[in-house]
Amino acid sequence: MNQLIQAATHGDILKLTAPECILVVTALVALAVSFAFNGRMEALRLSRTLSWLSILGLGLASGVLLFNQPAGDVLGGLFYTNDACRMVKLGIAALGAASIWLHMGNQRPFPHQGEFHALLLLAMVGMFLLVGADHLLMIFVALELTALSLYILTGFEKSKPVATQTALKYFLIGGVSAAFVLYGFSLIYGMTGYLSLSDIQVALTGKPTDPLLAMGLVMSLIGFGFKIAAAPFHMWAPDVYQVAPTPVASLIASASKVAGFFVLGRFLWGGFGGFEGSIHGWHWSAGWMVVLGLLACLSMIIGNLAALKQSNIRRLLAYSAVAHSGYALLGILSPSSSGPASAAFYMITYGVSIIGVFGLLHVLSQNGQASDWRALEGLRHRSPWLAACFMLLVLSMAGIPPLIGFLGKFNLFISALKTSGNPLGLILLVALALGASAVSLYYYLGMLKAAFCKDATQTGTIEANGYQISLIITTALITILLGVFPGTLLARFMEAFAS
Amino acid sequence: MNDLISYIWLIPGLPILAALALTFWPVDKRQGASWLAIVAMALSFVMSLFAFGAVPRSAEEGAVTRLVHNFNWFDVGTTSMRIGWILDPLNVVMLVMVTFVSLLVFIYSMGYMEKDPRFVRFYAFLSLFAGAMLGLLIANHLLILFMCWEVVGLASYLLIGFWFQKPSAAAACKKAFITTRIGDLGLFIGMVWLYGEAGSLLFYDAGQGCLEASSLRWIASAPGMAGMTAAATIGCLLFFGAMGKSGQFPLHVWLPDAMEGPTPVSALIHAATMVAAGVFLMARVHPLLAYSGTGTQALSLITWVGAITALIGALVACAQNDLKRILAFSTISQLGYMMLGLGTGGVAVAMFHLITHAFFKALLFLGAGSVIHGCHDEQDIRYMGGLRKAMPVTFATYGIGMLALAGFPLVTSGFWSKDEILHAAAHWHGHPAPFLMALAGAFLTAFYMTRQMCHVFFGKNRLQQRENATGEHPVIPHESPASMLMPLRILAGLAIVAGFVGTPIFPWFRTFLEGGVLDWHWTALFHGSTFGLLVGSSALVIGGLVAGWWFYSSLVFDPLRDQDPLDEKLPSGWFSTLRAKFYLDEFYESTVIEGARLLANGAAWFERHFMIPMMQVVALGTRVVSWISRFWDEWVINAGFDRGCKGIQNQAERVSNAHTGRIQLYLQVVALGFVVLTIIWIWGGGR
Repeated sequence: MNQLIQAATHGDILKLTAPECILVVTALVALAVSFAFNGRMEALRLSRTLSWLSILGLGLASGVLLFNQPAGDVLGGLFYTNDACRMVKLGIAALGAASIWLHMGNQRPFPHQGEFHALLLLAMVGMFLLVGADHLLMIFVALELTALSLYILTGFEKSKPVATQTALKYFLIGGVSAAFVLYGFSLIYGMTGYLSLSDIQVALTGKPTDPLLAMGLVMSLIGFGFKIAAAPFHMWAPDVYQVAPTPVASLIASASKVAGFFVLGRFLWGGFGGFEGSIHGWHWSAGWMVVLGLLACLSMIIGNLAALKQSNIRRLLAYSAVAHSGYALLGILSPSSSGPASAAFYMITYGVSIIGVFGLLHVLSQNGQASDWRALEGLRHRSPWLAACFMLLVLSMAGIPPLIGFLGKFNLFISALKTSGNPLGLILLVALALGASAVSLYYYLGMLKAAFCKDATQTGTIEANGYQISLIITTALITILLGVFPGTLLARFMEAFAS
Repeated sequence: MNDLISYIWLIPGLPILAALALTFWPVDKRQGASWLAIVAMALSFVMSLFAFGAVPRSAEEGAVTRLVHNFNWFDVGTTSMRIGWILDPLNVVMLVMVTFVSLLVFIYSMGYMEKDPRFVRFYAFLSLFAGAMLGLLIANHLLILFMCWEVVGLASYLLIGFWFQKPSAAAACKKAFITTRIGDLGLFIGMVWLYGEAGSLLFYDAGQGCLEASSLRWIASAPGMAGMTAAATIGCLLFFGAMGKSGQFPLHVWLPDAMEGPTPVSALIHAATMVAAGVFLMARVHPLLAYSGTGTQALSLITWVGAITALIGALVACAQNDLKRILAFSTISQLGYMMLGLGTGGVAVAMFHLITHAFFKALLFLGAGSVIHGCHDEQDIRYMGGLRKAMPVTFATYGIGMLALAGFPLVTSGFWSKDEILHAAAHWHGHPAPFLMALAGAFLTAFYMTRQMCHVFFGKNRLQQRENATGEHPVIPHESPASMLMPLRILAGLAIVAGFVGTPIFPWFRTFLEGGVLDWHWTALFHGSTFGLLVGSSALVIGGLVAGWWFYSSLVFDPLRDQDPLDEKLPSGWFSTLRAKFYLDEFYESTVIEGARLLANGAAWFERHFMIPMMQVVALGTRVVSWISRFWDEWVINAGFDRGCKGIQNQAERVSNAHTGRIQLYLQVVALGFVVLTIIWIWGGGR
């Protein structure tokens, strides 16, 4: 390790990790501000100040990402960056900022706002590091940084017993999967002697699959499956989505998954490119593709089926998110660069829609309604504009053209179908994904039916403040504008991933 | 100034935009609507003046320089459709005239239409008309010209029927539309034929256009119909369209009825601009008609039709009692003169009369509008009289217009332009008859205009008698508002001055249109036949004026008391024939329309007894097929789908129940997942 550190100057490290550093500093400043002003400033004002501060930090980090980022890696892959990383980090920063914006709509903030913001930012740091990691240790550390922050955030409303319970569940499953990951990583390290993914790749070239290595890989995949909520490692998701504070839930549903997907693609293709096996129908050969294909398959089936029966909208969204992870895994499965690009693009755009929907649910719950189906009933009469936005967001998630959700899904399927040799397994997976999307229409349209065709059980217009309205309208606009004019952004993505 | 041509589309573009905007205009914002239209028109006028300045002059006789801007419109397969604009002396004088007259009429209408509830719509239609008319002028492509031609037809239809609650107006607009459409059929066939022969409908396209030498040579040598060359046939077909639009005999019947529209519309569309579009079209395709030695049949046809129209229009005008109808027949007659001039003398002759006529006929119509406005919508000249005292400005300007129309020697524009036509007709190689008919028409024109003047402005006012007869409260004629009188004054000035740009002494107009060096020919007036014709036609005109005064002077004649002097003097039956417009409408009613009716009845019979039973058989078949497919749908597809959905629901129940919320189970699932996946990898794979 000593040698590695000497290989790069501290300047290099700082240059490469400037966005992360900015976020850490922002988190510390947020803590300091909250300590300094706690009790001396009105709670709401303090909370908003901290949120603005966090958004400022994210903005600065994004600015650095946009204008000043060299490509390359230091410390043997501990920190790594290229155009694709930068794009994904920008997407994560945007989604994180949107979550914080969602938090700003909260009129009665819970206590300990400083810690809340600091933890949110630290989770973002974890995601950034995860995206920029090419090294098993860094991946693990970043995963844990993100996960630990999110455990605490999930249970942040300590006064509610159910919050604590859910956070504990989340922590237990997370802890077990972290143990799996660590064990898997140690096995891989033991088999290869390297921690850096590129070194592992080199060391493994031409070698046959060792059962122990396979076990290590499966163990690691369990950790990633937990992160992206792929079935059967998704069990925590419904509870967390239901109970976590809305900004946290939307962060978990969007940014955290984006990071997970990106690092999964990097991990598998960058470190174990020779061990994917194949999924050519009956003539499949063992490899991580088979494992991943099974995860995708299970996620699509279980996610959609379970979502059909949910009475709570947040739980429904959780299951549908599992299904979406299943779709996105198709991107990871296709070996060309357009696959991971499509997956990342899909998850980011999906994140936009789901943050918008969470924003709406937040508004509804603020208006004194639990988030079951009845909360949506009569939305059209009570707030036509919000209902229209809701329709756009939900239809985008369902993948209806011309919204962005359709385009993202379309790209995923196309990149899977364009795989050379047309492996039958991939084609079957795409067919399954199409069928699963058709099933998903049932519950998505069910939500719209409740919002548009049912009469309101409660009367009166819906009160929403400017932060919430602007968030919902912006996300809805993005779904339609990006859906109609995807050109440049999508091309940037493809280009960045191809390099 | 070459880039100017690429912006010339703005000239029609602005009124079109105004028309679009007015379509969405709130109906109660009347002032704003009229000003929007007027400003757009004024800008077009200014741009037309610029264009006028930008047109290159050519010092060489017969060689006209044209500014052309062609571009690709769209591609079909390997064929690309190119269209373009053109700017040459021919259309630039039209542009200036049309924008100017339109502008005046727009201003005039503010007063005239003041109380109309559909004021905004009126301006929208007028703007649409103006835009389409200007588009027609600048088109360098016959199809574009045709499209604009149809749009002006549409605007004319809409404006004639503007007061559609009057049954006569509704009938008139229909008649105008259908009659002109008959002519347009000829134009369309001619256009398609021209495309077939020339392969392009662009007029001028750097040597490739259909009016340029290489194409003309080909068209003139290709065979056409009835022993003519293709060029002559196409010319005749195109002229057929012009006959409809420009009210040439025998398709002129719509124009008198078109006077049902508001008077500004009659002035703008049915006197000054749209009806002249036919003449303009003929002038535009004149190279095709006059291509050396071949196209003379078409020109002969134009000459004869023009002469007949000129004479018949003048004859019928002598026996009408409706103020605007007299002017309408006079318009028909004058359009006949233009065609005659085009057939015998060429473009410059016809266009000169077109321009001067536009000014004085617009003046006359606007004056008539002022009279009608002042007499509270009375149009029968027998009930007018004595208006020179009540409406002095209208009287003076109308008098100038009347003299110009009659062709009063030396001081009026009509004299100079008509004289050129007579001159050309006199030197025509074909037959002397058109010339003699034109002379007779000139005499009659002076005569019927004098008759009208006597009825309307001299003697004592008879409006009271009309009102008493119908039992309404008596009304006093009054002078019109300033917004209506201003255009009259301007046009009256032009009705005099416009003639001096084309006298034999100073033939600016001819050189501008056809090229050549402009010079003063002080002696040209006294040159042989020119002088003789000048004196002769002056004598005819003055004779007509005197004859009219002799018969209709208020000293000897009161329309409500006396029989019309012509009726007395002419053999019995002649006058009623004239008054009934040669029974042409009745003739069409009993032939064309009756025939169409028979055909329609026959078609209806065929439909009832043949087509409908057949349809019923088809419908029955369709119902059988749909019944079968419904059966299939309900019992096979839907039932299967329902079963599938049911299955999914049951599975969903099961999957959902598996998520118990118990953490122990969740962790077991994770562990199980690990074990199963590892086993699949390590021992699996069909290698």
